[in-house]
Amino acid sequence: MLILRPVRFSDLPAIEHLAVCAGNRLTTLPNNRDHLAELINSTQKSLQQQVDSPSQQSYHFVLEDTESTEILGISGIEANVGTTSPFYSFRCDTLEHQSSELQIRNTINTLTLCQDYEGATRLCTFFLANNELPEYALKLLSLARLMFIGQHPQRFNDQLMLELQGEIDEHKQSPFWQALGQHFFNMDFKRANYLIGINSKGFIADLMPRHPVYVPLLNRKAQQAMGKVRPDMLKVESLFTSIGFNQQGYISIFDGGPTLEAKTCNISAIEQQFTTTLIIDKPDQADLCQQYLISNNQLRNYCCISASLNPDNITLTASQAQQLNLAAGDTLYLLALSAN
Amino acid sequence: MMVIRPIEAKDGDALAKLAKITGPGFTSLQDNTEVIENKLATALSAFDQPNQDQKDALFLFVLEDLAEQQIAGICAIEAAVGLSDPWYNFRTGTLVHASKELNVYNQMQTLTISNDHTGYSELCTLFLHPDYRHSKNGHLLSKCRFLFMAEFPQRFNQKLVAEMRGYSDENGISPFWEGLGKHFFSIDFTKADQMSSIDKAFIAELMPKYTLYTELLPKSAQEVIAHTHQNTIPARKLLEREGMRYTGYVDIFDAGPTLEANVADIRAVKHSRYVKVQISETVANDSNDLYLISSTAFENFRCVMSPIETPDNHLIKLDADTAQALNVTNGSTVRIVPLIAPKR
Repeated sequence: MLILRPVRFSDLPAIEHLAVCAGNRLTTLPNNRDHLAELINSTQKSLQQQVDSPSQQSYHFVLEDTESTEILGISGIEANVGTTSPFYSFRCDTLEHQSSELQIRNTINTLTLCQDYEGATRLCTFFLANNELPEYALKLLSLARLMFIGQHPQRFNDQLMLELQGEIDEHKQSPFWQALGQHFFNMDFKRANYLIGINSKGFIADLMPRHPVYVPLLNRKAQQAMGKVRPDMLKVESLFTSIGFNQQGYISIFDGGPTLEAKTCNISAIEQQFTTTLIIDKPDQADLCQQYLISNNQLRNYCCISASLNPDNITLTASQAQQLNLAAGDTLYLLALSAN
Repeated sequence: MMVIRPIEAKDGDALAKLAKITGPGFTSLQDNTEVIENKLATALSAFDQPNQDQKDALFLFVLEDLAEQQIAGICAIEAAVGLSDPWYNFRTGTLVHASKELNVYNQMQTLTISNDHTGYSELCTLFLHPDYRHSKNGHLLSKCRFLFMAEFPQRFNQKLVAEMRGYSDENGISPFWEGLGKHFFSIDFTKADQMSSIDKAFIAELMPKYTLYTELLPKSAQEVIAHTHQNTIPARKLLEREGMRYTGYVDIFDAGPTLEANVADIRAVKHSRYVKVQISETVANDSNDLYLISSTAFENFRCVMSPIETPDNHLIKLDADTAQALNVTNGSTVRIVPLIAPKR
């Protein structure tokens, strides 16, 4: 069975392995033991804290195959962007340059370094090691976080955002980085990403352009990469747009990948989760026609699984209930997954 | 004999003829009747004594071949630029982006649109007919302006600029324009350049207002910043020998360099001096060195170039023809300076 649960100290070797697989392409998953240990530490600390309003907490979850005990993926939430280190984006602005005399009207796009997402809650560190997993694994890894947010609203902000990894070319290089960031960092994308991951982010302001960048002056490949996701992230992008996230003209300062955002109240995965009382039963396989994400609402022992259930008579098997650390009569949180 | 004098109303036709052969890239004298007439009218009013307080006067001079009664070239000084239409340049600059934490230290070159030269005097509109490009006529045409400025400093700013034409390839394409300006104008270089000499308002409307990082421009555009057009290199050398220097300002269209100097520091101004005229039938040349000799008159300003004989420090012997060309008589005061800076 696949489960999603908070990351624990014993997972360190496993997430180190994930970081190696991710190849320093994820800022939040650098291949650096100290940093990964801190990521676990922060999760455990945050889960034990009494929280009235979000601040420096962060939560990371792992996707575990309970049979093999293999860790297959990781995903996280940063409760309040900008509390521990500044968070930078490029805001895509439009300038109208108009000359009545020449009858020219030029729309010029610019990129401005900004910290507009500070104070939002950020979904981060999405990494799935294995692309062969069933569709629901991807949803479990992405959406169980949103159920968690929905169950603990006081721990998070109303504004959610996430960055999706940007386009890379056939040489695994980011054309956006090469045309822009590379000039300011003097190093390749992976190295920069790694250093950013393990350091405080203050130096980004020191290195990145202080003046808006005129988009028409970037090369064509870089322009085309703006706001585009890496092909293998398209599934994730469409998953998030299908539940209420959209692009509002912000992109990653590193690879130009899109930033998606949404208000909590507009996210179907949060708004449409519902509760029911747990009944344990052996269901008739023929009635299991609806795929759900199913979770408890515990903190340190938060757990989410995915299963097909009978929507007219929701029951869990004993092993499912055990996995969720629930007994008959406890409250169950459910989210119906759409067919695709 | 070749003589420099202020332009006169009768020179209109000659001006139009010169304009026909300047060709594209010479924006200050375009083959356009209206533009030429305006230019002539402006220049004529500048030499009108009652207008001596005019801040942005255009002093336009012609080089006349007295024997052939031909206008061989023109040159001009703009007393102050940017006072009615704004005057634009890119200022090249440096921003250091550094992080001790990451051990990164980057000097980023920048271009920032500026009006820093507002109010400066400008050397402009120099054109010499191809038939006359010999015998140092180019030197006379360019440097006569320094003697005029030395004579009438109150009519000019203390600072002087001259814009050099920027690099363009054998097809007349400016890589700087292709890499930058084109994106903001959606018209071609020639058209933009022509428009800019008539009215500069559109530049402000269309050009980038934020500082640009030079490194983000195409290599081909970066490489030609402050490069002078092949045909303008002699003019640049000439002005540099007079003490004008590139100080980091370039043209917004083709990135040609702007040369700059304090008027008082220019060699031909600083080393020029007054002498009295003695008209003489025989003039023995002291040496083969040519001198610029100018009169002290304003609307009848004259300047010639000639070898000289100076019996003493305060006297210069001129033959009757030269004196006539300068419009001076026995005992008149004239200003002289060696045509070319002595080699060190």
